[in-house]
Amino acid sequence: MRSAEGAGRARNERGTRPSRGALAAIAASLALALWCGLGLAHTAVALTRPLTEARPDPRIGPSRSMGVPDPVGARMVTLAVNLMDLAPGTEPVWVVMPGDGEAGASPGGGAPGEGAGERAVPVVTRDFVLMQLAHLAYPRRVDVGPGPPAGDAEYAIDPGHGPPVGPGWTAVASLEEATLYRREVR
Amino acid sequence: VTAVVAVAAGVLAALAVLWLAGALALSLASVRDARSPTAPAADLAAGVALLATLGMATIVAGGRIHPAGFYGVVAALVAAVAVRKVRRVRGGGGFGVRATRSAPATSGARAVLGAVAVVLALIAVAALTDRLVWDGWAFWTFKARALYLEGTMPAVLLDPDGPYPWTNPGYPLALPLVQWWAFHHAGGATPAAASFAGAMWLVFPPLLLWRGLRERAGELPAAAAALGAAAFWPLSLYAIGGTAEILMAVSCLGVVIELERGPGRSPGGVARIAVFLTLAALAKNEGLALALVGAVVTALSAPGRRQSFLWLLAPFVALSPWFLSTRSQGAGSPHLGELPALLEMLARLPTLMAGLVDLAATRAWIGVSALLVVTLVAIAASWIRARRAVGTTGSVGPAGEAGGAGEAVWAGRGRAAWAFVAGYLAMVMAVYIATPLELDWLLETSLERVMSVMVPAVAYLCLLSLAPLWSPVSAPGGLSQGTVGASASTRSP
Repeated sequence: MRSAEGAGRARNERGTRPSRGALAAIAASLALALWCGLGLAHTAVALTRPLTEARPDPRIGPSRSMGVPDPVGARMVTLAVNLMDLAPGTEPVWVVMPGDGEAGASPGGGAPGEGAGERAVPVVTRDFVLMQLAHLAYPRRVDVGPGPPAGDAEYAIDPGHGPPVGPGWTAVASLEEATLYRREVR
Repeated sequence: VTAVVAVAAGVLAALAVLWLAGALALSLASVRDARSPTAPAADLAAGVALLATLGMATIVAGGRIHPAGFYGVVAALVAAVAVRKVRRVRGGGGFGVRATRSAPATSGARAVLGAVAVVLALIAVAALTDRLVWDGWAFWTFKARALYLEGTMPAVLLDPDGPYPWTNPGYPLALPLVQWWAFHHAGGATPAAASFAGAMWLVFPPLLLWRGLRERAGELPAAAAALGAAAFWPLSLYAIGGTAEILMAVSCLGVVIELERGPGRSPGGVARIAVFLTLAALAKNEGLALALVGAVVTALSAPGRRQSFLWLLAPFVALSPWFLSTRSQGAGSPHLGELPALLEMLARLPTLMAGLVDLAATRAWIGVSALLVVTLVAIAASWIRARRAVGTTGSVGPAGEAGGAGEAVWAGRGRAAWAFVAGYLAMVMAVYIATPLELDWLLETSLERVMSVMVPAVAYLCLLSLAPLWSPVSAPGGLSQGTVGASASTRSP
């Protein structure tokens, strides 16, 4: 910007101090520089942050191991377990997010955060988990819970109750608490 | 790495086809002007509007969408334009107006534009790792994935009482259809493809600011504005986050630039405004408010043009099948319902104002807030000086001559552009006041996103208003050659 030039032009007739126009030019230049500078700094910091800042990863308490070959399936299992832990309208799920390092307390006591720089946010309800599960499962239905899966379900999860399915189903992901099965193509 | 490159190439190809379709459609309608600062964005906006209008109408009619169908439309456009070109050439005509391109003259501007390119490239690379935000993932790309898998929008997703109420069933489908189109070219419905498609839209605010400001405000301020827009993280976050705000922001900026240039003066100016308004109306529910305000302001600023008036009906005609269909199924706006009592609405004002002030003071917003404050002070001071000059001499010189910074734009066509932004802002604020939803929650989850839509447009108007401070020959309609700070009495006739 030609703020200096503008300021020079805008000096008043006595030439002793900048006019209001010169001050305005300086203020405008500073504002524009501030916008660019802070924006660059903010963008640089934001781009180095993990995805979970923007999209919370729902986990209850200590994170669950995801050492399974099917990450989407594992996520579905985790969510289903979370879902089964929640009665409708009761206590929220805690979401672990990167933050200022203050670890929150999980509903059952203890810190759910995985380490420094994370914080737990009690925002997730049963509906939230259900929403995520539905998103991952769409358009094929996921049957969650004990008992034989519904006839139109393509996936079945039975947390903590052993295999719910008979022939025609294949396990695709499992955690300690549950296994996700997919109906075999007929 | 190969897969990531394939996703990027696929998305770029998808957007290139949309851009081509839009350019051909505008050319066929004889409203394409490559010299307009908004031309590149108008082309893509027209392509997206075409895709969304046809796609939504097909879905409402119970049909299924397929990429081949839109390729058929593109082929028809190519053929029609080719026939017209051949006829023109045979008739002695040329190939129409071409844009004149010139590189930035100053090294400072070149350096700043280089920084813009670096910022945009970094954001695009980050997008390829999937940067969808919650809303982008939970319902915008969810709808796109449903379109990709089903070829239509299943009834279960349109049912406000069904299993997917969080997806805002009444929202129009421009963005999910763009993502659907990108998925088909990127080899699958992956979050990274949707995120990268959003990143590509981020090119337009800086590009339009540069094209719109370089001759009016000077190259360095124009380049700085482009950098400010490129590095404005709230807009970037939601663009690569897969939400529709970036489409709204491009529309808002495009309308403001065309309004400020004078829609009746520029060839196809009203048509390009209509294209941007159509994109907004097909992108989000509040896009309909933007279209309403834009159509009214444009009609008032370019009166007496029946053809122009017909163009301004385009957003509403394009949206009407979807709007009527979803509303008849009870899928209205979740933000509007039974109006609260008047006193309750008034009681929300302090909370809303506090929310705005808090937002304006955050790190991401403080710079643009300062720019706006400086501009408003400059405009107010110029206006007061101009009124004093009128009081002293009984007349005032050409636009800006008496007032300096701010006066030129405020006194001229820029007034319509400011009115457009203010009108849209008022409608957004009215929703916050009248919504049946809990205000604190709504402000927390939406205020920054919604307000970010207006930032590039406001930055454009601010820079134009402040241009006389940096450039002595910058304003429309013959701005003063003199000093901004000179007193009106020394320069009035």
